[in-house]
Amino acid sequence: MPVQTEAPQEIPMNSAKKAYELRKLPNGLEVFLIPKLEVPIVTILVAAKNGAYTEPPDYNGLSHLYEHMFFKANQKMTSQSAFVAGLDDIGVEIGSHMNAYTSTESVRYFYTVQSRYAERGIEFMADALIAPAFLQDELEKERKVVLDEFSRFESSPQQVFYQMDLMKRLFTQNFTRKNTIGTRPVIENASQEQMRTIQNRYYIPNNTALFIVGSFDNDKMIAAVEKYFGPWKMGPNPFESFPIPEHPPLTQTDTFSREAEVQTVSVVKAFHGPSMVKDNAGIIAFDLIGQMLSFETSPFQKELVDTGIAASASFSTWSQRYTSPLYFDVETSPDKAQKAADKMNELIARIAKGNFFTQEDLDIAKTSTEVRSAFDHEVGQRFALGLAGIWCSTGSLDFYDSYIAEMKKVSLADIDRELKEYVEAKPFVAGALIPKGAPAVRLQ
Amino acid sequence: MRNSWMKKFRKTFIFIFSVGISMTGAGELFVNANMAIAQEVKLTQGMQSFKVEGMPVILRDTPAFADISSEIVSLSLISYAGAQTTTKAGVLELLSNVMVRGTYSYSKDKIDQILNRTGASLSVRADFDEISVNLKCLKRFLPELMPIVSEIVRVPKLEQKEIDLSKEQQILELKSEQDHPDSLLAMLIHKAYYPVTHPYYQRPSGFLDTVPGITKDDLTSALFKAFNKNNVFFVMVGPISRIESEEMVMKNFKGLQKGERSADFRQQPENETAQVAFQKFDTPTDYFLARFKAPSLESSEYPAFAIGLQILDNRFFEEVRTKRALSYAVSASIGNSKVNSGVMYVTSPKLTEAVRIMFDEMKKLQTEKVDEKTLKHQVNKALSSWYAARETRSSQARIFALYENYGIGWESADTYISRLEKVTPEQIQAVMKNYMKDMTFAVVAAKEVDLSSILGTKPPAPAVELVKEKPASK
Repeated sequence: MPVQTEAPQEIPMNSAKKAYELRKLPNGLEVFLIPKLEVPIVTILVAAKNGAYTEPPDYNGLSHLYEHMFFKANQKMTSQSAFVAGLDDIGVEIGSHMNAYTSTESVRYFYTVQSRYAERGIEFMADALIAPAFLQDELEKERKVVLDEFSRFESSPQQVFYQMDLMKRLFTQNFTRKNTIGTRPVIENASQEQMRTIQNRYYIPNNTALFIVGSFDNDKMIAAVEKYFGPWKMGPNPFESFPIPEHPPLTQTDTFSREAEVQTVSVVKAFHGPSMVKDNAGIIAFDLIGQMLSFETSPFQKELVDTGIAASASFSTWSQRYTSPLYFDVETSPDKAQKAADKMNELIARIAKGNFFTQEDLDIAKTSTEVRSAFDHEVGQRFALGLAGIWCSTGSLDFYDSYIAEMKKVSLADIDRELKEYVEAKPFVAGALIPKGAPAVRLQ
Repeated sequence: MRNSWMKKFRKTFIFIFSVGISMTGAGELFVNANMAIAQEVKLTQGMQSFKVEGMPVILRDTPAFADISSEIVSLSLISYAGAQTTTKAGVLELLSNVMVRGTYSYSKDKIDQILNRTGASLSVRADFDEISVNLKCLKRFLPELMPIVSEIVRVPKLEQKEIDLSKEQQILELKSEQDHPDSLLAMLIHKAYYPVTHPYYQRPSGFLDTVPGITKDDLTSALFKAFNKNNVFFVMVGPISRIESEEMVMKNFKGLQKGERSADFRQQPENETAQVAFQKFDTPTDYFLARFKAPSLESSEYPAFAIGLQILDNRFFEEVRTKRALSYAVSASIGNSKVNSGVMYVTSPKLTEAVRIMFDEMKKLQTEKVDEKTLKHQVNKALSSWYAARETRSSQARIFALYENYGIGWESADTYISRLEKVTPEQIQAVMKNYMKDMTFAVVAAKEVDLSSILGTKPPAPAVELVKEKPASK
């Protein structure tokens, strides 16, 4: 049996060894092959550098609508029914085995098939991706489906609060580029031409990547990829012709309050954080800060949760190529909301000032991150999604490859420097979601 | 350890929109299926079960793959104690939360510190049929972590301060359940479906009017009923030998007291059907849920009903979403409880139309036979799910535990395949007729929707009173 550990120990996981093999087709398509042998299944995932960040106001929500149209007719499968029948043939159920996610900086399409269907899975994915039909009647129907999804979003006061109210204030100039669900009128009026524009601009091999995770024959898989994705024609780099505008820094603090049909109070304070690629060290530092603030031994938890002021308290960062938001938030009851907001503010000031964390906190956070990275590999679909998200935001997996090594270098001084750069005395947006009729919460 | 439903929802799923919401599968945590048509994975091959101090241990000593995950161990300690353990709704979840907040030798902070340092995840989960302690970690940390697992079931402190704090958090979570139409819908149907006399009515998370009254004695009583040598078994999946596991159980759980095995409860609710629980909510789309009785995993009718409901789910997708664009989210699925049930769910701005189509499709499956090709496809899709559900050691442990707890035996965890293969179109039609009737309904909408002509209920829908504000207990 292993030796009992008391101090954080070195984890002999080979983070230096790449978990994948990368092949690049002549048309620019990057193919990541990741063997995983436990069960005879393969996850096939295509990621496109598309999403809200590519959307000016007149396209807001159309990356998501396009994602829905992927499941419709294409040149080979001439109706959605045919598409579903094709999936039936390879043992795939939409929802359980197959799905697609649109986010701000990525659109990811994926399914998991039994290994014996792996090559047919590649063919099916290529057909759907390369030659969608965008039939008018299917577009008409799908926009209604997406509008019901929009309505479901609007039915959640929490989602509207965090994603609409807060984000609009945090990213005032280019809000649409953080607003994945989009704008109702844009979805209501979306046209086939707009779908074709998105296809021609973003759905080209040199703007997409293929991730294959599971139990498969490498040579056969490469041959299938070359056969079905090889003829796909590359196009001009969309980010040169249609550059993504940076989000200007916040220049002033803003606060807001939303009354809604809720029973509990949520209070959030958000800052502009680092951007991936430009400041990867900052991204990693805030990941560690999030870990350290979640420790039950942290004063952040002790003073907010253990005292009973808040039911939960958290810090989170959403890593993005174009400005990652940083959130501190608490959830509490209306009678304790003011006290919780005040205490959270006081704690944020103490955190930002520096010397809040100990060396032991940092060491534990690093070890914990490293161990838990082993768990990431357990589920092929989830692993592929994670890698694809990084690829879409950064254009490669370098960030993933070097993450553990870079994380190990982070010092307490680095942590304090990042807090100074992004949080201390910086403008912020603070908001409160409160039950109708409950007392207002002062947020400054 | 403090992840509320809402927090997880907000942090994990926000900012992502997807094409499908349905995560249904053909039962059994996505059941085993047509093994004859694919590569065979016999999870139970080479598995062992034995007793240590009278407590059953089910062990799958996994082979070492060339993967950095190969050192992961999943360990579950399962108690047969379910909803019938207590008559106070909320006791089981409160107990689950407080057990990990300090033991005889470990303070709450110490436990947290060790878990963070080792990267391990430790949770106590209470549901209608069991309470389980689940540990996922790297093997090298087991000697440090097992004493914690041992103490949280044997000698948790259950300090009054921690009970009060956890209770407040639980109450706030129950309140936040009313903040979203989906959780509100789930709560409404629960109250409408189970009569108060049925053990499942006392759901583990409790209600706003029951949690404040829970006492330390309630927790202590539930703890002793749940965790005793005669009421638990272990499931371990990972690179652990029999000798290692025997030593581990002997060392850490020898001191567990003897007690009684929980009664096995299987009785379906004698509920008032054809009623609609309605709750007004400011929403631009209407939410609908129907619940009906279903056979449980060990029943000979289960495979046919699981497949039948999955076919119905596909037809909903085709008829309600694809052809008519009436909904983003429509589904039918079977549950996984000893007293089992199934649900039909939809959200739609045109609810009456959507529900009518759903019931038409249901009736078709009751009056017409499905074709062999559809059946074959469905079995094959279930096989894909079966593999996917066995991808991790934790999910394997979960499946072995399910079979063992249901009295089927872990040895049968690979046998569902042959059961599915034997399903005939006639059997599907028969079970759809037998079970898809006498339903209970819930609607959450901005205004009342009259579905009486479709559901056979009385208009207008009677409202079920919700407990809104209750002062938090101190």
